[in-house]
Amino acid sequence: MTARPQVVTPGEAAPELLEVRNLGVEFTAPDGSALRAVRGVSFTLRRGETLAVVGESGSGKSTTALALTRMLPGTGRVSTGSVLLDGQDLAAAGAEELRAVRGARIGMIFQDPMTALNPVLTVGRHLDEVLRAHGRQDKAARRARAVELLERVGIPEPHRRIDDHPHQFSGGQRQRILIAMALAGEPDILLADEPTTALDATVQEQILTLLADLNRETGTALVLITHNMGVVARSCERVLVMYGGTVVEDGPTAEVLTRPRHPYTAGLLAAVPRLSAPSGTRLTGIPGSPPDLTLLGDGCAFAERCTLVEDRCRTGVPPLVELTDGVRAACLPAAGRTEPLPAPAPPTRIDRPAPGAPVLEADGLRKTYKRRGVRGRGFTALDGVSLTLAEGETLGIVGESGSGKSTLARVLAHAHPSDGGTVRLRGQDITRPSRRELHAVRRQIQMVFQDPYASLNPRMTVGQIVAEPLIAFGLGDRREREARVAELLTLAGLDPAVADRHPRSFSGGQRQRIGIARALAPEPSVLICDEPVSALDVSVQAQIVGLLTDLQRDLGLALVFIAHDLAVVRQVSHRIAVMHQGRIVESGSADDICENPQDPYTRALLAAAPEPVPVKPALRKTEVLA
Amino acid sequence: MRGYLLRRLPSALLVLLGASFLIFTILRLVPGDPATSLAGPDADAATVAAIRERLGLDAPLLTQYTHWIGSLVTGDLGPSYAIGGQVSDLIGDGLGATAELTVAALLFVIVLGTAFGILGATSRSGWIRSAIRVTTTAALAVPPFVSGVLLVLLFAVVLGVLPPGGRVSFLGAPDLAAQYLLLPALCLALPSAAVLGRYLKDGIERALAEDYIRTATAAGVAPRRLLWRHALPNALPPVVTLLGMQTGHLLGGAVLVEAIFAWPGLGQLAEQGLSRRDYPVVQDLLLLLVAVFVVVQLLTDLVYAWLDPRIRWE
Repeated sequence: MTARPQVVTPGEAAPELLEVRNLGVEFTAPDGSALRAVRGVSFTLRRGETLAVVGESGSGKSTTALALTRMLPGTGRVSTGSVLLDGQDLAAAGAEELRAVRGARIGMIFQDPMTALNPVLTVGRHLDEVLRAHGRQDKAARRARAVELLERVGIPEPHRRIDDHPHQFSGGQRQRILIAMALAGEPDILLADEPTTALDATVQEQILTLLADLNRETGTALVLITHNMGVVARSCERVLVMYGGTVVEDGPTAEVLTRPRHPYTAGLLAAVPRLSAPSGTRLTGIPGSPPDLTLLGDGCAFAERCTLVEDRCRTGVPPLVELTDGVRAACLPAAGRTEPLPAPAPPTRIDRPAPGAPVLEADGLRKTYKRRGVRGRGFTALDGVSLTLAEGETLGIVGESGSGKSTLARVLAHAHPSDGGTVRLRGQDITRPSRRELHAVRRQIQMVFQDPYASLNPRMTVGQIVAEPLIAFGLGDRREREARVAELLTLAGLDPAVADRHPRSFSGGQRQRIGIARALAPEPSVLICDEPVSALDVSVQAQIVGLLTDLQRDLGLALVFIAHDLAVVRQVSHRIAVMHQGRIVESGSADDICENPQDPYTRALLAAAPEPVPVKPALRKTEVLA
Repeated sequence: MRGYLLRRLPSALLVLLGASFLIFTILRLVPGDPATSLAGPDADAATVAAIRERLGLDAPLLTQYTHWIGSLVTGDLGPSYAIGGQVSDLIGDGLGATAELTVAALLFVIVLGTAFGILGATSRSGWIRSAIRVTTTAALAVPPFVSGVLLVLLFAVVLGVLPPGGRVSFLGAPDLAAQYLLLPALCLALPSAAVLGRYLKDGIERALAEDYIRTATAAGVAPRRLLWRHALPNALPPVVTLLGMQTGHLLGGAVLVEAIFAWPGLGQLAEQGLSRRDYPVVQDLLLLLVAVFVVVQLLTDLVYAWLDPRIRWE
């Protein structure tokens, strides 16, 4: 490693480690036009600092991160500005200079640990490649260092596991291995792009703790890119809020999260579900949907959704100006204000009648997935699960990955047969239905799926997608179906005229509305929603949750609401069942479960859910689960 | 690994048994009869019947079949009907020549296919990529009996640098033998090399777009290592499976190519045996090809598991 001059005399401010000035990134769209994904982004990073870059999909946060070391995919290129790392401009550096920076001065960690490691290489080889790329010649020394790194990031028995392949590790362990890779070159900056998004809350907590420890012990500056305000509050001193490819606000986390200056920051904070909000609280969202970067004009990107919007907001990009206490915001109306933004409207209650008679009852459901091969042991996904669901009631089901939530959804919807136990629909045993009964059961129980991108056939029009169940259940003739499709789309908050369009021209929230319209088509009495909002941005999820609760009120639907986000589940559900290893470990009223959890697993889940409230380091939650 | 092989053995034997049954039946369904063709056009019925009795063709089909299988088990394949000599000698002679041809072709497939694949996926020059696309398309589209004739025309007739056909043993004059081998091996290899190249190109392109390549890039790994150490090992397993299947194609294609280049291998033997209804030669030969294919498939599975640590011999 080359020695770096780091002469800081006392009293003098530490020199900026990284200075990004007016960074712009463009992609070439298939039609040849330029798509401006990042516009005029400027920020600085000091040695050892922790900076969060927060924003929703399309905000340009990941693109900004990739642009720093010029790793933009496809047609992406840095179109304006400079990235100064200790004075060296990376935006103008050559390929070899960049390679010397990557891994050695800036280490990166990416979102999905399942795909970010090479399946055919051992963990040792992964680390060896990094060490080798940065000039370590001695093979034995590299191996010793690799063991050391694995030890540091908390992989048990590193000397034995170094020759294992990625598939032999859990998701959290793989993320630790990726962190070890990023640390191998002893970088000055650790750039982590959504490092915990694909992980369960308890594992997220462990990874964030590890990153904080590394920052403290090695002095490596941390840039944490995330959409999760709770993660920001938990991990970073300073936060940069991005929207539509621009920085809208920048300042100390404690300040920005408690006294946001930009209306978008304020809206985003209000939209984050709080675990403290009681059951039946309506989620707050931001009206509209995130901007389409291809259509973005010259004005403020947030103007379309902003409550403070003025005419001048639509004509020029507002500059990022310092308002107070190191807080900068890019908002023309906010720049003139001395007082904080008006407080958001107090949360309202969901108006819905009390639940009625039980409609769905399950007793002792069991489901085992067989392993392939003769000697393979089965995996028990459901181990004696019992529940009841009443008309007009929402039952929340929470648990981590592998707890059996999705299997339960499929068994209830009769997508999979159960291996044992009974399911009753309005008192009638439907556990092992005949073909005809199954048809009737499926009409009564419909599903809304997690991924609004994958669960709609891209080759069908929206009208065809929504009409599909009508055809399957033989409901109405062609003309009646068309009328019904229009009615359903309106019910789901969409313009009936969209029936001719294909799913690709819709945003995530709109696609989920299409999925809901499809589920409602055969007039079901039970709607099973498997992670219906987890793929959506927080400012949009309130709209979808609101739609579901309104539909429940109007149609008397019984809802099963499966999610990993406890705060959303508490607000939307009457009752909550907590699942762990195929069993319901605790169930009860939503408020009771969250206020007064009995089972240790429930407590661990609650403790691991990060709240968007700045925490002092001393008060940080420690690792709860090993 | 030994356990895995032992477990695969019964199914491999079953495949051979099924194949033997099919080969035996189909040969008997082909019009024409060895006795008639041996006796010649002017022979009377008594002569034909005598020959039939001598060859054992008057026995029930099941007896003939068990007799054949018995000869395979004991290893005594017996005399040929029409070509003359012992079947084992005939096959032994041809096997060397065909093995030489297919192994040389296989090497061409691997070398050319790898070159097509890697250059096609990574070359920055659009000209090179287009050239590879055109070459592979042509190699796939042109059947060996056309490409063979073209190759002979170009290298033997016009340029006169290579012999048009025949075979010289490697034991005597290796350089001359190589000259004789070059054209038939190339002709046999081209279509398979094109298929392999295209699969490998797609595989490398897919692998280079994966997240783990981004991880390695972010760690500062050099582009050359990204290709050879990170992307290529991931692109190989499906290509190895393909290569195993292409070996079958090569064996089948050898029959045609041997005819074009007057290569004295199993292809020529098969052609002679078929046209003269020499049942023992054809039966044993076809079963041998099936056995080779079964073994190659087994090897392919072993190599696949070796290349991809997520697959184990179970």
